[in-house]
Amino acid sequence: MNKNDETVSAFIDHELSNSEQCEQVDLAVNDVNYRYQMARYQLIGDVMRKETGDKINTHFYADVSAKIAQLEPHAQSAKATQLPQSNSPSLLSQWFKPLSGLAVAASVAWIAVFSLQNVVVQNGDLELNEQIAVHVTSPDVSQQVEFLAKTPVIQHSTPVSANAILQPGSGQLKWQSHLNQPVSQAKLNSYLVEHTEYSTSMQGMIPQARVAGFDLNR
Amino acid sequence: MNSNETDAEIVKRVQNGDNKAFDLLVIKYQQRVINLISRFVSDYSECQDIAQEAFIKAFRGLHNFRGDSQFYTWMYRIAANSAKNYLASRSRKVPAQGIDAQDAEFYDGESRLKDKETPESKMLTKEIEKTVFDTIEKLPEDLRTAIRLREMQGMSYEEIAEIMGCPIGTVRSRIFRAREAIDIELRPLIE
Repeated sequence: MNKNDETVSAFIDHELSNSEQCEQVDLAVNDVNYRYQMARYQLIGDVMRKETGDKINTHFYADVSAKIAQLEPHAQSAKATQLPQSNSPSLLSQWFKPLSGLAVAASVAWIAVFSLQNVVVQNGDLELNEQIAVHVTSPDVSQQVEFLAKTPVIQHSTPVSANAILQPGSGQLKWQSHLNQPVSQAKLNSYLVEHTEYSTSMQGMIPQARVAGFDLNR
Repeated sequence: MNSNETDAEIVKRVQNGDNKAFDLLVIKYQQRVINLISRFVSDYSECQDIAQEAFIKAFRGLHNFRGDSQFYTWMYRIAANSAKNYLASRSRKVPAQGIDAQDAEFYDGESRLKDKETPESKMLTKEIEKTVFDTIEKLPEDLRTAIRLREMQGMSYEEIAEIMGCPIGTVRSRIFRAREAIDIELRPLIE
């Protein structure tokens, strides 16, 4: 007999200190003869308590160990798929859609605001713009859609041919002349309607951006 | 370190990839799991097969074990479910051949038709039991008392020391010497 075997006996009885117990776990894991000895000591107790039943399988744990070794590569790959992904890719993928949606919405909003700011404000128009602002910010989406669909954004505009040339010194921006065209107006109106419809619910959706203005010289 | 703390330490090692550590849990709990399953399944050989499957399921699922409960509690549920699943699958199976009416009263599904216990395995079991008890009877009284108090009464070393009026170290030595004496007799039968 030697001290190590006596420690095995105390180990299976959980009568060692924490550090000794951990040390014995290390030894047991790395030594197959240690595990066989443990199994035999365990069997002695089972027999004494008459817990062994009709048939004692002295190789039970070895059989389980062999089966685990056979499925080990699969178990390892299963565990590998369970491992958490690294933080940066998941953060990127989590935030990509909302960020891109925000960027598009911001650019759309900028275009819309910039366009509205350059509308010639006349007496009636000022009131109309206020109405537009109120309706766009109202929580009722259907009300907004209906209002914007019926109300042209730019009023008191004079139809201009598609080939209108900017008059030097007129103070008028080139694209403003295009906006005065009915085709452009229709496009801008429908664009604003759709933007409002999409912007109220961005969850999972990337709002589609439309270019409201165009440059004939491009 | 008590039993649960040791289990937790072993589970942690397995979760960190040290698969051999799982053997320690199998060695410790194999008989309890087999006995649990035997409450559901009468055939003892089938119990052992189901117990092996239960341990393999536990190994596969150990990365999901968060330690909210003790390992054996978790293992208990797996073993019980494995036994129930086995019974459910057996009840769905239809015998390949018809059974004569006069034999029907003896028919107990597959457990009777497949007898996995051989005479040799039954003899080995009897031999092992006899060896253990005979060796214990031949032990000096202090060793016999110490190992009986430990294995059959489940007492701690401290409690045994108090009963026997000796230091804990002496109890530890006596229990080890008793086990070693029995182990020497058992090894030729097992290996």
